[in-house]
Amino acid sequence: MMNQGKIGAFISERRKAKGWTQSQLAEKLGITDKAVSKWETGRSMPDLSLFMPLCTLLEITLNELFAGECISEQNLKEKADEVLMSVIASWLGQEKRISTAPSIVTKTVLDVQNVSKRYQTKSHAVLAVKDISFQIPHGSFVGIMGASGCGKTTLLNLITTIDKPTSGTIYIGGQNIVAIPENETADFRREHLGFVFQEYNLLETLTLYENIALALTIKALPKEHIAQTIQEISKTLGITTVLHKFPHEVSGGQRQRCACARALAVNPDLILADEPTGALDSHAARQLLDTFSMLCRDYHATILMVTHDVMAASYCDKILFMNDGELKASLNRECQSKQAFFAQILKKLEWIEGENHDVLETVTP
Amino acid sequence: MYWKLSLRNARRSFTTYLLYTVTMTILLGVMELSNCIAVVGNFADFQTISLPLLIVVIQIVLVEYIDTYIFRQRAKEFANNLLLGMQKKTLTGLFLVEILLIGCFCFLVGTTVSYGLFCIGTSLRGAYSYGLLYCQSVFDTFCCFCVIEIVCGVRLKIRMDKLQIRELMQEKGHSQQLNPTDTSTSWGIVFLCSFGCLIACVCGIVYLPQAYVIYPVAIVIIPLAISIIAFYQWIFRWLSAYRRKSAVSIYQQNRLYLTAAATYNFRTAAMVNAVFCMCFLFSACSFITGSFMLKPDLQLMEKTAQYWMGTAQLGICIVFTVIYFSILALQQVIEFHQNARHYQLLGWIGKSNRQLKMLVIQQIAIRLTLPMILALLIGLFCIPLLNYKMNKLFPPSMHNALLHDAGVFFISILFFFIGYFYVVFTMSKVYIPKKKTH
Repeated sequence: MMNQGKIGAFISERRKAKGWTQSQLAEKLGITDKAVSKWETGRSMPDLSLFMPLCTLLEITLNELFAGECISEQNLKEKADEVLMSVIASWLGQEKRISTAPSIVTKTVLDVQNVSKRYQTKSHAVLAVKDISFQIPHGSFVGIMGASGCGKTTLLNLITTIDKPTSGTIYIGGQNIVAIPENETADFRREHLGFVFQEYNLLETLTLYENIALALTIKALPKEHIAQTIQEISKTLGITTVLHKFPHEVSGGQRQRCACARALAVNPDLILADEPTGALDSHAARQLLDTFSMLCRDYHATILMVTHDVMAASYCDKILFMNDGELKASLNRECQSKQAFFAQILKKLEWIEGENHDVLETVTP
Repeated sequence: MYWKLSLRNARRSFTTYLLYTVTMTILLGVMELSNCIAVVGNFADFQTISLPLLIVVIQIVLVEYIDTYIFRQRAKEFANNLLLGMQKKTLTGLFLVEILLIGCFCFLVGTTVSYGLFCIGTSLRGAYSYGLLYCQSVFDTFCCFCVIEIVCGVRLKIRMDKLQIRELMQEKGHSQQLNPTDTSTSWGIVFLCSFGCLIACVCGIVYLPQAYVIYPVAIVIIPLAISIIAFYQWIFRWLSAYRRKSAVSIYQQNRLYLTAAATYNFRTAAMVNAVFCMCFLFSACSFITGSFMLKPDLQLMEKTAQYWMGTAQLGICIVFTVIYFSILALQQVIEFHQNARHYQLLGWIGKSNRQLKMLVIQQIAIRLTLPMILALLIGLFCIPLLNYKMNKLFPPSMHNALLHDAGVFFISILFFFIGYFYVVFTMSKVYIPKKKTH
């Protein structure tokens, strides 16, 4: 973790080396003396916008400022990595993963076998998904990562029965969804799947309570149980106080938690989340991802999340990396902490990008 | 730059503008048609000026409704323009000019088409000057158009001036919510009282001695108008309260979605339904009066004058029926367009195509029948009573003529209903998610 006291002492030391008083430094930065005093005593950190001017004035690097000491040329790389890790740790939190008992044999909820999807136009054919296979066990939180246009959403559409694969089979809860007749797919979605979208997709004419109730009504849950189910789920997700408000009256985070409640209320086999943190700020995104983790841990919900956000992916148990419609690699979190997993994801992405770059270099003369 | 921005945004909102233009054209076309009837009526020494005036009142409510629709669709864009530094005065001016220009275009198309239809549909050969009829009817329509544009423009300006940027951003999703103190009971009492008065007036017309009949006839319009307004205020407030209570019975089939759709803007919905109910009643009255005037056994005035009067009344009936069904159908299409994403989402969370079609059918049926419910209720009470009175007044050959004409009107409305229902349902299919194939 970043040591504010150490950083403050370092700022003070550098200021004195320059022969400036706190007031002179404050004047140069266009801030009050009090702010400088607070930094130096470790009570606060400079604002993001002041990092660079402060480093320039004190003639130090940003790494040195975060490390709270001067870094020599010899151990620059190690120190820089250390600083980066401490920033990530303060961003993601320090908790360690609690692993489930290995003796419990978990059943497979989603089994994708050699799935391909080809779109045929008049002039040419596009293979959007190429021979993909993977399994998701019950109660796990799996992420699919990849750049835009790599086939993530196509794969999600195939899993959600919105589209049919050109070849291959997909089993959800032991049922081959490719073989389900078209007129029965809605029944299947209603019984087995829950959805969380990037843009929340709540009906704006309904209150949050009614949005959740609508999903339960469509599932034909006995109407007497609806109120109780909504109360329980809203308590779990912390939206009890805003239940009777319309979507436009609540924050993005609350809207997204309502979308989660709607997905979870019908007790589906699999919850599919398409870029759920895409429209949220970092605080609301972390809250939502914590909720997802809690749902998997405490309620054994199975979640498949499509994302290109590394921070969001670091909450998953397993990550599948897609590129050009293919499954390039996968990462298991196992017992790693979030920040270690985060670093691993970054490395894997770097590797995939490098591979792409190599291919491009080979192709381009 | 602002002009370029407005034009680009207008191109993006093509469907919205198309719906707006079609609605305005129909409204102004109907206005021109009613003015043609009024002008020809004047030529024949009939005073029919009240007809266009009545239509002006109805149209002010309807134009305000479609102005609100287009304003809501573009409110976010207006907020963005204000954020870019545009003056609110400039923005309001640009929007009002835009609405006016579209209105002028609709005026030209609507009057030309309606005048053409009127000339084709009537036999004016030699009797009147086409030029004079055209000039006078178009001038009258233009005056009415100016009144409508001024009233609606001023109201729109007041509304735009009042809204802050944040409110403009949220205007599209804004709903009319029921205050906890706002109850439906008081409107229910008003309705029951006024409906009782209406029936009392009709009974007065039927049973009072002929010398006193003039009194209930003179005041019957007051309880009638109050009953219509109070009934729809009551219904929509009751539905809002029912929804707010989260009663268990609402959570089955499509009740929740339909109730939410009906009560989302319940104040506007209540007013619009009341206006259409009046429209339907005027249509029914005109049909029955026209049919009576055209009966050879009935001699109320000079034969040609009576024939003209009967034809004019049937024309008015058609005008009101077309207003009723066309605008309600357009309103439903606008709602489908606005809520297109809802059907996709409902499909995602488990509603099958068949269930979605059923939901759409229910929505169209409610939209087209809701305003006529009270009119049918009034007819159910009043027609037998008035038929009894007419049997006493008219010769035996005309006994039960009112029941017969009401039946014919009902069958005609049924044909209109089926036709419009089919058209709206066909148009709504665009918004139901398509099935995917391999």
